[in-house]
Amino acid sequence: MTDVDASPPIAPATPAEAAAAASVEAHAPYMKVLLGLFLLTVGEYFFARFLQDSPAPLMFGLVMMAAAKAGLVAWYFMHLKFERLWVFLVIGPAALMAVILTLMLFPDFVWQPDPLGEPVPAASNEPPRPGP
Amino acid sequence: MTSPDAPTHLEAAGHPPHRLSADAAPAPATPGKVGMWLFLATEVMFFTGLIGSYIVCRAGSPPTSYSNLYAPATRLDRLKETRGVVLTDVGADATAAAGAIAAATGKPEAEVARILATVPHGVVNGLDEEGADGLVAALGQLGAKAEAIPLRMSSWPRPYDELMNPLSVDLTTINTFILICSSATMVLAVSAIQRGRKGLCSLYLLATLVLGSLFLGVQVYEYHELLEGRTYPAGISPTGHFTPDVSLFASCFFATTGFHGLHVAVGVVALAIVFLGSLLGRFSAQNFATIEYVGLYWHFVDVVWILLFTIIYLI
Repeated sequence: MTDVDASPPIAPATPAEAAAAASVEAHAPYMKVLLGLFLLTVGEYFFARFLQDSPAPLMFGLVMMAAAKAGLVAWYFMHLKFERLWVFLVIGPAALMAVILTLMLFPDFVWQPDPLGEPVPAASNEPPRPGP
Repeated sequence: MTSPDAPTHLEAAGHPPHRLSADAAPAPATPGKVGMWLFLATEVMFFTGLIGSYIVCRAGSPPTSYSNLYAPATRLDRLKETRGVVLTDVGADATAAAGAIAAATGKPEAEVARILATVPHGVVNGLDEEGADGLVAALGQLGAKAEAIPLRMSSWPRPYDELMNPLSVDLTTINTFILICSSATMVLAVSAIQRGRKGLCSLYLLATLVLGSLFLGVQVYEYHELLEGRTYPAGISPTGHFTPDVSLFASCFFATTGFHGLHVAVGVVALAIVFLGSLLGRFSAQNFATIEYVGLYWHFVDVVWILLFTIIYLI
């Protein structure tokens, strides 16, 4: 029995093929991220349109989708995924202060004024008019 | 000094070309890059302060600040039972419709003309229930389309409410995606020059420049429409135009989007300079730091807009 290789011969890639493959590979993650960003933008649009009468789910859903979009841009487009620790040490304190400031704003959400509960003043801008 | 046409450091290190990707690229802490990230850190704090101020203004706004019938900041405590009429179609005889509105409300000619200019969102306010029904009937006899509506109050203009909020979510959604696409072409430009593809890099830089300019152009168009292009109903502005002084919402909107637009304009100028440099062959696989720094700035501007779009336009 002869030793015959049954597999088809495999020709090495030409430089043009290798360049094309490199181009496709380099673009692939970015185009996938762009597709994700497109889907999230469309999702935000319809989420905001159809849940406009439900403030809490609307706000939560939109903030989550916006955070996902911002995260995708920062992680892939700004190359945070590929950066070393020093970048996070530079940006970390600023991000921490941003979070602290945001947390410090919560009392403004809780302690809202209630002018409808105040006594009605004697004068107002424009009284209603009777019909014609 | 290395030649601009020299192979990339990855190729020199023996990596096969088809394995070149950002995963394999080391990220050295060059002084320029550290400086750029430090600058972006200050920008993070700046925009956090700006967006935080917006949130404080919005959260602290009283629940009677905005309404569908009266101008922002009108005292509504004695107007809660009033009705209004929304004119969606003037009909064949605009003069007669104007006469009916003037007769029903006693409003001066200029104010009636402004109401007619805001059709299909023309709001006639200051009526009681009987007066509103009478005006709707009178306008109906003249061939106009109108509807009586009660007073609705809000602490902040809600999206899609055309009687209180002049912002176009549809247009801005498209504009947001334009900016996102420009971010993608920017990262592709960096990727191309890292692989030594100078022509491709120039092409992507040009695409980024065009998309960035388009975003800015749409924002200028939006500002023009808001400031003087269109006439808005009373619930948006007492003057008919959405200028920064008509309400807290207006001033917050122009402050936040204006500062962002300024950043975009600076980015477009930087992109133009880098694009020209790319055309002149100043960048290569070993000398692309400037493109990378401009890219970082551009992506940051994109991230900020993603947040602003959600907070100002959608919520």
